[in-house]
Amino acid sequence: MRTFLARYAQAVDRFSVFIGLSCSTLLFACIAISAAEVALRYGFDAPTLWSTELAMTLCATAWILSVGYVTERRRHISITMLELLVGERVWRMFRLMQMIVALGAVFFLAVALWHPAMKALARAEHSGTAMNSIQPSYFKVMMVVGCVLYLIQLSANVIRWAQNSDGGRSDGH
Amino acid sequence: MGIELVTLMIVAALLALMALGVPLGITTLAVSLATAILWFGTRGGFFIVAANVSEVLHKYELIAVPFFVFMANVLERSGIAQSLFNSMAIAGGRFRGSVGVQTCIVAVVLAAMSGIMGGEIVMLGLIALPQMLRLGYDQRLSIGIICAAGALATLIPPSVVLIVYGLAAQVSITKLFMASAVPGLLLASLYIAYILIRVRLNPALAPIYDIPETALPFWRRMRHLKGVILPSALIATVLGVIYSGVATVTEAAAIGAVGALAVAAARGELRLRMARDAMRQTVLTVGSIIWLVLGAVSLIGIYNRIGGGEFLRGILAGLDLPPVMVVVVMMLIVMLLGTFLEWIAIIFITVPIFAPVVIALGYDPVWFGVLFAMNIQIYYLSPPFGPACFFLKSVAPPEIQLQTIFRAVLPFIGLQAVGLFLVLFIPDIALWLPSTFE
Repeated sequence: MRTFLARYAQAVDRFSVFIGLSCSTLLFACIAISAAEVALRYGFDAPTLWSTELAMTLCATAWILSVGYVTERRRHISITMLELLVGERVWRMFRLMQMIVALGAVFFLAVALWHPAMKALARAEHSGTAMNSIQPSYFKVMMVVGCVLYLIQLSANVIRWAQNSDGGRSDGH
Repeated sequence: MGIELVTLMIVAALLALMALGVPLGITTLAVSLATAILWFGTRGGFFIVAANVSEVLHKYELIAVPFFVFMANVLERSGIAQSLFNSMAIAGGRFRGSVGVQTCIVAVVLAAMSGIMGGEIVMLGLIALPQMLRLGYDQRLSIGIICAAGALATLIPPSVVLIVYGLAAQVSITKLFMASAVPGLLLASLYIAYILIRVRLNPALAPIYDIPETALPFWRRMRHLKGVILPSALIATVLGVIYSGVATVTEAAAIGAVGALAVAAARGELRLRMARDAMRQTVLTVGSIIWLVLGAVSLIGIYNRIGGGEFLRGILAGLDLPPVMVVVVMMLIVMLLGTFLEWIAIIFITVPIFAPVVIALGYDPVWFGVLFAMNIQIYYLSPPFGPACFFLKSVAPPEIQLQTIFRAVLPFIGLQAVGLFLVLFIPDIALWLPSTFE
């Protein structure tokens, strides 16, 4: 069981890093599209209908999907000043509590977002712009996917914590 | 349950979770979910939280943030800061305190190129601090200059703080960028004046250094300004397209990001690995920021829904104080929150409550935005958690203690307070540029 869980945590870590690094490509595309729109508008007198919405969609996707990567690297912004005061052993328990609180909050957020996402899937919601894409539906579904990625990575972090295999990291969750 | 008690419980829960080390985004999210469920039940609470959170991704201006973060990451990995510093050192000439003054000028240029704070302090800490210490500059003066000048990125356009404020207060980001330019330069001027006065009074603080080129006539020294040309062109392009209305702030940020890559390429420093690392760092930075925004938006959405916004606005509006003092109270609240909250969370939590009060008092929310950014700058330096001090500590020589850094920034916090009060009592310092453009 211990080996199985360790392998699960390792696989999740790799998956999160892969998704996170892929998100950097999306951000790059987002930058290129936004800059190209200015060039097309003023250089070629050919403004597009799709650049703003596409840039927003790509950026939001990168934002949401990078959560596993951020969690794997423990880069969420938190205040860790008590670490110095309470000592290593107590802080280790604090870290478990941080992860439990995060698991609970993100789980309830996923539950809250689930119904709107399913509704948006059953009947597509459109942006109402000239492009009229299904961006609102897409965002709702992506938020749920983001929560699931966060939960999966948190579960891997909890395993690493329980197995003491997180490299003795003393920062946040 | 009365709103007063709920407010107290929310604050207590926030403090407890933050003290536990729970990430700030999760802290605000958990408290907002708990409040929503307790107040509206699961069905209604979930509906409101989902509606609030879903709104965040539709904010087009917010995507300027990763663009500016990427731009800063590229510049950080290139040698632009070093070239700027070298050029300024020679072009500025030989006078007492010149390296300190040049550091301030370089900080202004870097701030106008990046819009984010931490990276700039690290860059200056790596380039300017060793130089000043090597030349025999007073340690405290050198540290103070770097922390204070590096924090100017909070205020000088294109500041990411102002973008987020503009979104939260629903005011024009372009106007905010115009309004913050003069106060930013005013603060830089105050720092420079302070340096010159201090070194005049006590020459031992800053010995005159000797680089042969600095003895050249002025026009020949100007040749060494070539390191300034590319950064200046980048700044002029980004701010030019924003101020002229040619592009949105987001598009200008994208142009800036592409421009930063072009500058690095022109300097022969652009490598695939460098661009990839800059982008990965950007993903990590903005990936953590978005959860702060989601949590803060969710919390303030729920708090407003249960009447908390009205309650706090009532308290502020009912204060038996002159309008300007109400603004001072708001500034003090922001300063207090700054001791334990991240600036993005502070903006999303306080601005939706403060902005309507500011407008009701007859003030311009653009002016208030500038004050807000100046206030964030003060918290950025203030003990015990001033992030600027921690950023500098991470790159400073090991013998420089955190306590030394905190002591060193105190006079500069005083100068920031002077700047804040000047803009508070003379709003035209901020507002004349946007009104001139109108």
